[in-house]
Amino acid sequence: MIARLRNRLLLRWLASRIPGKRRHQLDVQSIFILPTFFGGCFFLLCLCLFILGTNYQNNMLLLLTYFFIALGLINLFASYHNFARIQLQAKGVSPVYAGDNATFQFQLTAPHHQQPSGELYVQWWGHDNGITIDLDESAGTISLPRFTYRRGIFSLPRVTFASEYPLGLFRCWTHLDFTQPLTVYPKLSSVGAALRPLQGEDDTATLHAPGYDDFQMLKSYHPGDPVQRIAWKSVAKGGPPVVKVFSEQAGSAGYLMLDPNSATLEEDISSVAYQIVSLSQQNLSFGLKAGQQIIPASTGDAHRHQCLALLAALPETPSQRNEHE
Amino acid sequence: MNKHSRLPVAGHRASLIMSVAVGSISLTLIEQLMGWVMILLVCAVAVRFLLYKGLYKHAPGTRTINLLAVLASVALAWFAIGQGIFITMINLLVVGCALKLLLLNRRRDFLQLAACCLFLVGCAFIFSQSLFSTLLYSLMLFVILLAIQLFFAPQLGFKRHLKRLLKMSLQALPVAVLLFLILPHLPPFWGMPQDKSTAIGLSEKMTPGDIAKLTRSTDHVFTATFDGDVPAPEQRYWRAMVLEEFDGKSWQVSEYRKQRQQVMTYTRQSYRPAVTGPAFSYQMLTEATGNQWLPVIDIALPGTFASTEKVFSANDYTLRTRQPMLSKQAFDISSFYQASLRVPANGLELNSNLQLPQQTNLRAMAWAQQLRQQHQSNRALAQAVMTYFASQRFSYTLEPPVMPDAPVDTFLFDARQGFCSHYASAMTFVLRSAGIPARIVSGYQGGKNLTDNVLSVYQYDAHAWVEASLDNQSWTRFDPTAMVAMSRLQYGFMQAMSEQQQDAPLFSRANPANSTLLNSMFHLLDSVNYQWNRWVLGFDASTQEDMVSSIMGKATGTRMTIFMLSVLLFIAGLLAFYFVPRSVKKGTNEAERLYYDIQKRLEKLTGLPRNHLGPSGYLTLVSPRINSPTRIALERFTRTFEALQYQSHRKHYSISVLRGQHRLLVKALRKHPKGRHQGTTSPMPG
Repeated sequence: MIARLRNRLLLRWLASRIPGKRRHQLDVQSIFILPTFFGGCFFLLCLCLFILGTNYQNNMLLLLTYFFIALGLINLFASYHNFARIQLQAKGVSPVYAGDNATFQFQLTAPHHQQPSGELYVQWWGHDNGITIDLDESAGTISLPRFTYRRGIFSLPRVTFASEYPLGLFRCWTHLDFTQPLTVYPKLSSVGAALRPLQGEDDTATLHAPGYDDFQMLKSYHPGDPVQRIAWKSVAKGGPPVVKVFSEQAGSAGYLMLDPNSATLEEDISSVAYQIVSLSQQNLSFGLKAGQQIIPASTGDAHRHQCLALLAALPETPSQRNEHE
Repeated sequence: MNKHSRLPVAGHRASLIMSVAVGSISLTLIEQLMGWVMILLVCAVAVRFLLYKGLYKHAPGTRTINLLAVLASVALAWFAIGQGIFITMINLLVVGCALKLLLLNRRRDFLQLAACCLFLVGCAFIFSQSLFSTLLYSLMLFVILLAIQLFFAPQLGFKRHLKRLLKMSLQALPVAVLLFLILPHLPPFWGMPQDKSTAIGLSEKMTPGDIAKLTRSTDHVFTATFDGDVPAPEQRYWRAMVLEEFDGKSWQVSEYRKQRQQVMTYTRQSYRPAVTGPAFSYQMLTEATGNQWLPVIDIALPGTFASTEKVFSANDYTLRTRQPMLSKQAFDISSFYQASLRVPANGLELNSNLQLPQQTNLRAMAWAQQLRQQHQSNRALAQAVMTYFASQRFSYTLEPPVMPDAPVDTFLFDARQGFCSHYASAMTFVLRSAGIPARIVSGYQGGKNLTDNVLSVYQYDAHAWVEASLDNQSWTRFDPTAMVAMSRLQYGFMQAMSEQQQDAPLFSRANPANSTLLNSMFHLLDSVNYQWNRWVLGFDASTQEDMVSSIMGKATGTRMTIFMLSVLLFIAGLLAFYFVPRSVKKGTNEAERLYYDIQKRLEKLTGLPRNHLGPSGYLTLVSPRINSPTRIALERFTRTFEALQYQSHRKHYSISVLRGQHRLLVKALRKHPKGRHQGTTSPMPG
């Protein structure tokens, strides 16, 4: 409870201190720096050496102690200096199905002629494990995976970047918000949903599996037409390649229906999503109606994404919402 | 970042370099380390090397290491008794490092090892602080830091690692020096454990025969830097200890004095001798001998407050430090060479200096009685003893025969050869037998001139002489050894011993047969070491005070504060200078810089400004004004520059080619006759 409150307060403070942007140049405002555990031990060591040096009245030991302190001080600045060279730009994250890993990609650029060095630890806000990138090795695109559990449109959480270069005495870190939306499509269930006319009162609803449509005519082949529709018989006879054209389902028949108030909403969504994917694979035209939202029938990738995004954005039923809280 | 992430084993550069660092530090500590610790360490380094090469795949398991650790701690505990706590601690640390090195497979292990190594470097400085070891340890420190940096940036090129670390160290160094100069040098917080074997030099017990070993040691004892007059050779008697108790064979510091000195050490009292007359004032830089006595000339008093804090006068006119000298230290001393060493009025001292064991050395005793009858005055009697040494064919040698029974008798009447202890012992015995209070003083005699006002004293200058109270008022110095080896007194031990030293090691300081080149090398080394000792190791609170007051005038509270603050500000400024980003200069790329350099030279030579001409355009403009070798060089340079700048895909034009051509061109331009080249008619532009 306290941890959650603390987390929320911290995020609010961060939001005002490091506002979300697509592109981040690290600076005084966004970099935090504190000694690491090793750094703490190092300064403790300095104290021990100082006591030893004073008790033995040993000037070299004292000089060594002061050298260590000066080195620590220089390190503080060098560490910051190195970290502040990093420039990050979000490249976006492609939508995934729930249960898969979403990959957030961002571009790492160095604005100066001097590149940052050392290892960079990248992890999601609040996560224990992340990835390690060597800045000397790869200055380019970084992909940070994130596991998704459920559908929805989320804003990506902050990403924590940390570096301990050069001597590990200080840790520079920052939590950046790239303001990237993450769309998680519903999980696919293999149970297909029925394609229905828009009105929905028709009792004669048949399962319109692909291939049931009526053959209508042949038309001459144009590059880009589906290969499986070529009338090979006529080609074999030596005629010009022709394509079989099937009759389009009338507007009344090509809709996937979804009741947002259904008791089994998630299952319904999953099966509808599966149908969307398989219909798209067969390049069939379909529409989607979920409650009051209607997407007119169409085909193509963009259409598929539009439909899946609509499903992802559907509000959960009150019972499920309670479960998640 | 996972704190427990495993480290790669084969090919992990950081762990290899760390193991090299551990190995080399331990090598420098070889005197302090036990044999088995060293073997363990060498094994650990070897295993690490094999693992790095991939020749050996299985690092020892945790169970093996734990077993080894148990065994090692038992062994350490077993040997600890004979060694003192500090040496044991060093051994423990090295054993820990070796075991960690075997087990190095986690991030945490590596960092622990790094911290241990840094601490070991610090410990190493306790044992040696000479210029040479400082350089050596700095190198090792650099290697450790390099390993740490490699650990945090594993893919960065090795050269750039070196460059960055060097830059960082050089940036830190001035800050460290400033801190060293301004931060107060505190007195010790508490006494440190010392190890039993460190006390070297004179001992508190002298059985004639002991000092022979010491005489050959070429270890440095102290350096004295005189402010004004330097004492003449015959005045250079550095008193360290007074030996008053005699048991027939050996002389030692008497019990009551020892107790007295201990009380004075703890109660922070000091005896205040009355002094008059002129004084030699000098700064002494002592080596870390682990002793508490300070060899000084005649009646000496600490010169500054800081020295007063560190030393006290005992009532036998010797100076003692309150802490054993475990590191090189500086003391400001004033020696009042004309003041007489007064005998305390209570007669206790006189009585104890007449004490003699009965029934020993009977012949010497009889001879003393005989002298007493011949000479009424004490002075004449003492003189007679001295003359006896001079006239009766006594000789000075470092290898006297053994005198187990009645050593004084044997020496005086049979052997007639020996070194300072024999002479001092015999004379004191005779004087006491004749009823004159006498005692042996041991210390150093002589000193080598490092420069005009600097004397360096080595262990082979150790000496013993006699103090007798002829009038029961004050002590007078007699040096019977001088009667047989006058040269020793005048020219120091080295010359006096030249005929006896054939068996000294070839390149030893004690070998007088060394060539002049070698001698001058030794001398140079001594001078460098001396400067190092004086300015770095001898820097203490009083030097600091002098430094501040020479900058700020009289050191008052406000002035000190201002001084401190200004130095802190200066450090802040330094940091700003290092890290505030500067605007990138014109011609950041090296080719452009080289071209600008040539352009400037050409403009100066020909008087033709380049303005907005391209490199080839400028070439055509200036070529009538320069002679042919320069023109050819310039043509080549321009061609390469253009290729580099505008056709960077053509790889065979590298920057090093341009650099070489730049050098040639500069050479040609230097040789170029000054003034306008003859036969030109082109008008001056602008």
